[in-house]
Amino acid sequence: MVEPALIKAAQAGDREALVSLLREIEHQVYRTAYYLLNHEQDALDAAQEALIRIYTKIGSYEEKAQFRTWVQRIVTNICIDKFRRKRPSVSIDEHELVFQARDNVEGEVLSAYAAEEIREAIGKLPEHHRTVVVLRYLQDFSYNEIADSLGLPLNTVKSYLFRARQQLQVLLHDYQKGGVRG
Amino acid sequence: MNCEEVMELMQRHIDGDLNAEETSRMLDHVGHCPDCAAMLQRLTNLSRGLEQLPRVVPPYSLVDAILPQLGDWETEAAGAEAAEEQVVTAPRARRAARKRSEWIGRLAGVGAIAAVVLLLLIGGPNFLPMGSADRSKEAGSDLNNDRITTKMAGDNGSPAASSSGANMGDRSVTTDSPVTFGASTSPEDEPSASTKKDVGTNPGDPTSPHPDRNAAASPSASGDQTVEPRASADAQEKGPHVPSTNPVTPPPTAMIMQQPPDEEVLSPDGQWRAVILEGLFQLFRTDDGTLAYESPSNGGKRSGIVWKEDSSAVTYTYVDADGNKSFRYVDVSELKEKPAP
Repeated sequence: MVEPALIKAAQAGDREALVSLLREIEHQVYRTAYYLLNHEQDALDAAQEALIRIYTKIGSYEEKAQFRTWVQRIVTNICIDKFRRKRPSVSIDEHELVFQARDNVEGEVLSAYAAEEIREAIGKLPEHHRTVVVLRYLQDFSYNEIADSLGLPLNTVKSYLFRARQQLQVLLHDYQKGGVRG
Repeated sequence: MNCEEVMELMQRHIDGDLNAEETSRMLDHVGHCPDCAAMLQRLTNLSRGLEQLPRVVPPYSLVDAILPQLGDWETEAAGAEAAEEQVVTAPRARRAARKRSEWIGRLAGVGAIAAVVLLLLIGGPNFLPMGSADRSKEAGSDLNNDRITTKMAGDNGSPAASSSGANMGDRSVTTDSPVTFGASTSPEDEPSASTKKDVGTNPGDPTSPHPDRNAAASPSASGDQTVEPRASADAQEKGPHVPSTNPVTPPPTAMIMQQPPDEEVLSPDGQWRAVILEGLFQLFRTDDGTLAYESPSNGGKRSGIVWKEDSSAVTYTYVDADGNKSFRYVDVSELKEKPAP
């Protein structure tokens, strides 16, 4: 949570405050970009673009919106724009995440789907569904916060989210039935 | 209550959006409907999996990476926003450079060091910008430490890592279960810290390339080969990160809820996207993806999107709850709906 005082100082032209503020949101911005674009380099580019835009537009942020929804609006717009332009070449395999193995048998029972399967499945969703899922789960946004970020009606957010989960569930279920997991 | 209604309740349940009465209605149904029970289990698993997706962090500090650019902005940003485009593209020669070193000087701490380190790393010593000698002096002994870190990161084959300071022991879950790209250190954002001396303490084994991945990605027909790597891939997914908001639900099994596909038609000029989703007609601007218009949710069915050739309007067919069919017309300049002329 970014301190309102920090935002005010940044808006008032305090450059150090603005840079501090960018550091606070850097990771959340990148996380959204990463899961929307499913591509490390694209995500790095998009996140930097978003931070620069936030830097230059901080004056236009109004307090009636939550700061983090304002930030996410900027980064999601940039990402949507990016993957519309280069959709066919978006790849999840080029830059794989490296996951640290953890001995956690209990966790294994609890969670039926592997992170990577989920990530791949998210990549198959239509862009708005994908965006809603990412904001819901990677930013822990409420329905209302998602609606604010994306400028969508609340009901639309819900129907995107519900539909996205249904699609994911079908994709992952098919994947499991495909026997890949033994 | 039919299964479709229960589906909505289950979805909202997963988001913690049900009151007690709705919850008990849902559970009543699930208790005697194995299909819905299975669906609930699957949705719950899915949701938990989504919650546990790794909180990825960038391999280097993005703010440090853009700091030099931000310096260039400074002179303009205060004034006109209109100058924006210019600023992005044009590196301002001396004036901006001087200004930049002034204010970077003010930052004095991590940021400046990191910027230097980043430049060193990317461009080598020959790439030092004007005035960086001063900055290095300011940075003093810290720079040496940073250099060491940088080298380590470089040795591990992560070319773009800037590793500003490498303080690893902070709040981020990624420290426990590092999800890093390559082996670079991932400094957390710590805005005000001015010195970072505990260098090179990356605890997690710098993760090796992806041996498991390959095996998992190409499951062969022979059983043994696939089972092992899969199992370890399963173990890998467990981030310690379990966001708290959503309640967890028990029972298990299967049902297919296939919804009719959406209609989605781009306008001929590519500026608009008309969509029919769950009975509603929606119109989006393609440039920023915003919703420009949505039909009233008064039930009935909508289908058959057709654009006018000049993209000035879109029509679709509406069948109301009584089965009366009509054609609707949405003019994109007015964003209002009316009966088709």
